[in-house]
Amino acid sequence: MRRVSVGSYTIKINTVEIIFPLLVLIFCTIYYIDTRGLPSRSMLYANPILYMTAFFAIAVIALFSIQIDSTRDEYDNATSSMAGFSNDENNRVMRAIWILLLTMVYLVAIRIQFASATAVFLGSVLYVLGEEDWRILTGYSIVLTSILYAVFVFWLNIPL
Amino acid sequence: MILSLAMGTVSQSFGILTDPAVLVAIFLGVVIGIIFGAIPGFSATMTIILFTPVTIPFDASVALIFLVSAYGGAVYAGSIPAILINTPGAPGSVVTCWDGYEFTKAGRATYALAASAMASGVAGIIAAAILLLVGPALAEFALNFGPVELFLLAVFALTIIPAAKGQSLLKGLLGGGFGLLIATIGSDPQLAQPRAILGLPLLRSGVSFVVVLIGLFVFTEALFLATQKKIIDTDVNVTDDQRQVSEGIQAVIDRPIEFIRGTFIGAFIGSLPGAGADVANFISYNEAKRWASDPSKFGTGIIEGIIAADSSNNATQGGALIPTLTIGIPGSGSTAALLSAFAIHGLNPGPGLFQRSGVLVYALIFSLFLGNALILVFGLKGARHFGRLSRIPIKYIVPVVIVLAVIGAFAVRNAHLDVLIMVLFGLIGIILVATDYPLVSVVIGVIVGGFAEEGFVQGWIINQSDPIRFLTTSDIAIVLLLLIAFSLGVTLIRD
Repeated sequence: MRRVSVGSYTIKINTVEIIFPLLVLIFCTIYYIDTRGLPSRSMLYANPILYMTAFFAIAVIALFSIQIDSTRDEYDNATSSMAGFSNDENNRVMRAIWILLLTMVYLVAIRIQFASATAVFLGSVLYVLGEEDWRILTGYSIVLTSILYAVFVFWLNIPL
Repeated sequence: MILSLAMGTVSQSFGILTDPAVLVAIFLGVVIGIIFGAIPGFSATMTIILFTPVTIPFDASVALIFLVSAYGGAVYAGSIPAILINTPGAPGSVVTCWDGYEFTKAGRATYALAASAMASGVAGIIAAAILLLVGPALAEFALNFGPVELFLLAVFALTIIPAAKGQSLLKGLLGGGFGLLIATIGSDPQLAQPRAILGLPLLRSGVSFVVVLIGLFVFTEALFLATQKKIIDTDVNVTDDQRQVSEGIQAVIDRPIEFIRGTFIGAFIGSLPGAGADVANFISYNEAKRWASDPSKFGTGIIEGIIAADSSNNATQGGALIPTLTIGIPGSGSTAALLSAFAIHGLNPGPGLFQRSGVLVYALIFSLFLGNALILVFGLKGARHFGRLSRIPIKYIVPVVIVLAVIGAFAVRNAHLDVLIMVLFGLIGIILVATDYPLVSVVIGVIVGGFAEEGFVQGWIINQSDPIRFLTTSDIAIVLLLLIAFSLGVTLIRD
């Protein structure tokens, strides 16, 4: 929760709640810019959906993400959810962030070579999740990559 | 004439079921469903999505019957870890933990597992019978739906989700609107003008709802699983006590009211768009508690709690297939995943499906009877063995689930862009779950977007751009309008 003071008012912004409606508003803006030159028949259905979605996003921000208090409160107990994380929770969130980063790298790597990228990715994620025995890491990566390659590339002919 | 046609369809459906490949598909489907469903965090939706690419080379009947059987198996098996280690295998088994684990602590896990299997298997069979009775009639009725009715049906599906899920109306509508907007990306159906494709030629054919589904239900879930604590810290000893198995079966037989009430609640809630086993479970449990002579005993380890939860759990399967097959609107996340499998295998669920592919649809429904009978057998004989799967550490599951999600998204159109879109929706899913949005609203928005646009545009042109004529084009349209108003009203009052 972030606070902004304006005169005798305090505006509290829920930084987690605001993310999705804000993303939707950004998407609606891009959508509008991209489609504004199209004939009205092409947008007969899409335009009402666009404006309605933007309206819902603004309404969600107003009702769930922003709170205006007429008194200046110096401090209250409603702290941000991130700030309230314990060490263990922080570690677990960090694990997810690492996995997300590894996934991004994996998406680039599979364009070069699926099998080796998959083997490295499987081992890396398993390591991030706490497995440190190199024999398990190696075995897990090789066995699963072989199975996935056999099923999806050889059998199903997916051009990975 | 019609009767003989119907009888012909039914006998051909039985013909499909006697095919050894289909029988193997049912068997394997149930086993795989139970295996994956018993792993905490691995839901029926994930099981269906991840196995859909594997079914591509098979005939549609074998593939879809396999996936439907896996669906039933996975829904049932979510209760196994709920009873044994107090961790639901899927959201639909949360309530089973409350009483189920108390039995395990008291050394009577086999009794609880047997009652769970009995309630799940028989409720699944009854729900399949309900689907068999209601499905064809509703499918016949759905043929009366014109473009306006289809558009209003899509709107109704989106407005009822927050009501059924108990979540905020505004958030549900925002999710649904976002889904509808995503579905408009690509060439417009009237003039083929590219809308919001951002210079990416692949997006001319739109954003695949399968990719959105994989992102929201698989990638999101995998990242959440990665943040879980180590689940297993106790080693439960489950004995092979046949006396407890018999007592478990008898417990369900002795409590027909709890069982039937749970089954009908499950079938009904399952048939509502967006509301699956997770909602049915809570409602059934609450109703059982409300009507009990001593409600305070619920949660302390009473068999009525397990019967109420698990009968409703598996009954959602037959219920959720009613709107999926007849009007093309999924009743839950799992049936949304099934809908993607239907699309991949060239079937188009919705009005006319029973007429176009009646033989396959009836075979699918009949396979539910066999599948649930197998659930009963496996549940009574082997639940304790499947329970061992609950002990598989999450760290071994997450990496392979992510790789399968990547392959599944890529396989839709053999495009790397789809994988990026899947990851993007996975991230959006995390935000949605963290801020209590119904994920299924977005998915259903994307799924119904196509026919909602077609219905709106055609209806608007037919009714000469007159909104009153458009909205009151038929009695069905007026009834749908009233239903939309009712679902909005109920949620607004509750909010």
